[in-house]
Amino acid sequence: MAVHLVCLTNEGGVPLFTRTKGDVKSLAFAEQGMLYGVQMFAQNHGVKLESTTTEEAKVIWQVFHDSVTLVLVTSNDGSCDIHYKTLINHIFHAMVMFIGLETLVSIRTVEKLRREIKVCYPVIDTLLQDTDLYGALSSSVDVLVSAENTTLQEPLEAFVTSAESTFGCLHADGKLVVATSNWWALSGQEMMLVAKFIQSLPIGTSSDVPIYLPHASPKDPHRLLSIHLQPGVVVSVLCYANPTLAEAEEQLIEPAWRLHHEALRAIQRAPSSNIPRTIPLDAGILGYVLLNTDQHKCLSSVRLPLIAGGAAELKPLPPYARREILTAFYRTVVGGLFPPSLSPERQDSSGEAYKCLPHSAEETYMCGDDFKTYALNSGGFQFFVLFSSAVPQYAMRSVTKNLLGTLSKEKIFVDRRTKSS
Amino acid sequence: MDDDRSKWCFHTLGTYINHDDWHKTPEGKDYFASILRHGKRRVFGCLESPLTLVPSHLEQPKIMKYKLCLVGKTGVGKSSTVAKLCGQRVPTTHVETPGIITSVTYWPAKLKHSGKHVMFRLQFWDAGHAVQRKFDHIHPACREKAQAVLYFFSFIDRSSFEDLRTQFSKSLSNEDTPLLVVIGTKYDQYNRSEITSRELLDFQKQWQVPILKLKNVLKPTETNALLAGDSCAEIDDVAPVMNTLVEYLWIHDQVLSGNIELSSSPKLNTSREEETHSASDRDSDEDEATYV
Ligand SMILES: Nc1nc2c(ncn2[C@@H]2O[C@H](COP(=O)(O)OP(=O)(O)O)[C@@H](O)[C@H]2O)c(=O)[nH]1
Ligand SMILES: [Mg+2]
Repeated sequence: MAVHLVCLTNEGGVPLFTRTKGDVKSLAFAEQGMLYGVQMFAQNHGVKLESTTTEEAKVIWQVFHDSVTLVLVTSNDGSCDIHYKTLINHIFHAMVMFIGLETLVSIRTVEKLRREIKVCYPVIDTLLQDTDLYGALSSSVDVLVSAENTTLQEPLEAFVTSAESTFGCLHADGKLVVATSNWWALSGQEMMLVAKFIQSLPIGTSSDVPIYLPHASPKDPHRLLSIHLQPGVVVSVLCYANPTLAEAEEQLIEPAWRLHHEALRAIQRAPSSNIPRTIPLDAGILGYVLLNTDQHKCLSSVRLPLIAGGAAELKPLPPYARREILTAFYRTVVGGLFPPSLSPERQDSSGEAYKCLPHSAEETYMCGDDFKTYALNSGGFQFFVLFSSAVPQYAMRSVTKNLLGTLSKEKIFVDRRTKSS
Repeated sequence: MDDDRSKWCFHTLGTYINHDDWHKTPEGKDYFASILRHGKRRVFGCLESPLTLVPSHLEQPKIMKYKLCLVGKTGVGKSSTVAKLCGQRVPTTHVETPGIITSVTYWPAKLKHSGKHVMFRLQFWDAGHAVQRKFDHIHPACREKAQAVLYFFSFIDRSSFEDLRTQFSKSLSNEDTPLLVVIGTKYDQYNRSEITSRELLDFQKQWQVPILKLKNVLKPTETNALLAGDSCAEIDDVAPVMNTLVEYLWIHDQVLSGNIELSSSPKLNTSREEETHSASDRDSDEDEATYV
């Protein structure tokens, strides 16, 4: 599925950049101009053009702050517009994160902006790619479940405090493991975008990068220090002038983390199911997405191991197929039946199908030739489970409910946010 | 520019540190094993070090830490060079570096005179150009206490070489005296070179700095061969450059601490040039052809 993204100035339609996904050429200048022109024509006639559908493709337009126009051309999977808009919204806020809102709202020189905007490409490209992580789709941060979620809290707090900050977190392979209460209080989109950025850093590096938090601080940059403690395990802290990267690395890391090598190694070896080994899993489960809609945390895996002799083994589905099915299922159910979990700043969720239901939907399922899926919306959680087609229909509900009951009690779902007064 | 700074630069390479494929000798292999994993370079986090991996029956090497600051125009190949020297895959497209990114690589070596082993720990400080312009703290942070500054130009970008000349003719601060090294990237494209060998020699004479020529990007098949399997082909490939770099760093240290006398007249060692290339291109590139 090819995707085109075009970014232009809203005034004049000067192209700022384009990105693509898949083996395709970027759109010709004339095509970009046409996409802009249609939208401008509507704007001039007092009409807001939001999206259109062709036989194969979907085109989404969005103008941000009357300054930047983003156009997304992608194949149409029949799901609600909300998911395309979520993606375009993430892309704009990734731009804010690296270059700040002011630079984007009052564009002085296009040439300079074009140069500056290049730093956003890695994160924007990750947002366009297919991934095993569901955070971007659900505007929440991907989390890792491990017995170490609590033991690593203390060294993290010690490290962040020593760096004169209250915003800090630890990621493993792109998933959040522990964070300070102020970090958890950021929006799902902010936590997700920072996680994507940290995942894009070359392995083994330490970095000091100016970051604008898209909602908490879109105009004032902070320094995000990210240090690989072990390959794939990164501690980050958000600070002002102090400490320098060298000070953080040479003076603050050792005292805080020295005694925690084993715990850090344990999260490196976390199981691919992203579920503690102590929790028994039904052999028919191939993958799942568990969302805490209030705290914007997303726990997922499409790499549940096949259990020998289990039902799923008869017709194994490779991880990429599991990912595609779960993604399609999520996109159909959310917006269609379940409410989407958006950051509170979003105001564009009008007219979604789920709002027309006479009651709020709590469960749904879908059966394909080689899979079955089940979804639950209950108690602040949305839970999407992919089963092997060998699992009988009547079993899905109780298996899903039981697993949700167990997983929702995991420590990672304890609400650690600072309460804003 | 103080005159004394670089006279030692042209000590014959290999005087202080074993070059000649030391990493292939049984002794060298034992030490190199600590920075490898299944034939590929091991990545170390901030809390880790290869010292714990050096077999206990061997002489434990002393760690020598260096901070190297990278300077040069956007797109010359700074980030690619870091990836190459750290044994990582070199990205084929330019990615603008969003801030400061530091990378550490370890390199074992044997000192010739004492026969002692050392483990060099090089930390490269790379920062994006756009972000340096926008934020004042970035460049000073990279320069602070750096033992070496690596100046980059690209063989296929004349203006990057001109930039270098301007940089060098600006007076350099005298407070610290880092080692200066010039790195010319994209040497694999030397048939499209926009800089003549004459100009390079003149530059080298004028500023008394070593110039290393690098090929970071190989044909995809060559890259795959280098990074494939358990062969140590990747180490073979970067060894000449790494050995050169660590020897210069070590000599610079020794000169600053007064352990090595400055040779009174700088001696241009012609064989040195050759040693800075990858082993694979020895035959092809020594012609004095004027490019442009
Ligand atoms: N052919 C060739 N390309 C190179 C070489 N070094 C870097 N490049 C390419 O030059 C571009 C810019 O490199 P990069 O390292 O990102 O530049 P930086 O801005 O200085 O960090 C990338 O597309 C690299 O693939 C080289 O030695 N040979
Ligand atoms: Mg770079």
